[in-house]
Amino acid sequence: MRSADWRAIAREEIRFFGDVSAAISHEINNRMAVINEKAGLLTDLSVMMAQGREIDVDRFEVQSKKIVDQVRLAKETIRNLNRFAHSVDVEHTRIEAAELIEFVVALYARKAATAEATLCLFESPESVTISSNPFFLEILIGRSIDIALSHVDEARTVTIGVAAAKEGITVKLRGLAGLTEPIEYPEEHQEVPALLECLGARYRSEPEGAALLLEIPDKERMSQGRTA
Amino acid sequence: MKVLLVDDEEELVTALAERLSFRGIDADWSTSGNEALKLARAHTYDVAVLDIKMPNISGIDLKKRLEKMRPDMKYIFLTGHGSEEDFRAGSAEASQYLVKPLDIEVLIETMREVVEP
Repeated sequence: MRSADWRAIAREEIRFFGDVSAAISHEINNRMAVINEKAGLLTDLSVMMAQGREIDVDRFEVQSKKIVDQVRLAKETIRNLNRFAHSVDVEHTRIEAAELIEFVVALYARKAATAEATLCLFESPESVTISSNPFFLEILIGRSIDIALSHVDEARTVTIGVAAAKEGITVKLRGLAGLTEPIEYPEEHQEVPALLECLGARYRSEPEGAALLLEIPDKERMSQGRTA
Repeated sequence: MKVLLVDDEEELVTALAERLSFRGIDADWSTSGNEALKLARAHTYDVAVLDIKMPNISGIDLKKRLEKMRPDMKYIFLTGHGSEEDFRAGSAEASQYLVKPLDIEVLIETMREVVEP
């Protein structure tokens, strides 16, 4: 690969890290804003009670439980942030593809909601693994979701699944309309082709343009095939 | 003062509406742009408090549609972070711009400022 391509990949890595971090910080802030309002409501109710107003005590329990729910949601988001931050720790490893896709889908939930769409997982009947760079795979799956969200059909649901292929894996995003080849990238993701090239991956669309296929070779399996 | 609160976080907007009611402020709420438009069609509000980033419609686009229906209504934008981008959009489009989590007393003071400048 040319050094210009590596620079493009580095730009895309930083951009993806920024996109995901911004979405996660927004989500954590939303949880804090709700907790702040619920705590304020509990204070208001306590003050009113102290002033002699009749307040149903169950209201305190209901609001406290809602605060606990918000803390649980925030904790889940922080756990995802921590896992995401550690994505760059290993450059190459064997990855459970369905599990990685589920993780990226969780990171993209808010972005999908903003695009008035829902992301659903299509469960693979078998375990599908690939030897690759986990952070690069997260970026490619994330950018595939970006492409899918810009072509989502009227039902507004993108279903994502993965299957084993001859040379690696195929990630399939369904529920799209009018997707044509060559796949056009949103303006802000023009560095994606360099990443595809680096992993030897490619995009295809189904003939009716209803699905996006991301084919990623397993480099370990390919090198074993060459030496056999 | 009659207030319309619009934010896609139902738990936030309902708690906020109730807390405002404890302080003598009549607040209706909605979690979507369409609901907000229906409420504004049916009722008159002095001020609308709109989250900038919502699914379906941004607070800025919602304000433009509400303005056509209720030209006298005043606006306050809410944002999660107070990013430079949000600040530029918010301060250009509304009289006031507040960052979440909110201080309810600051919100009330801000609402009074925009309604009775």
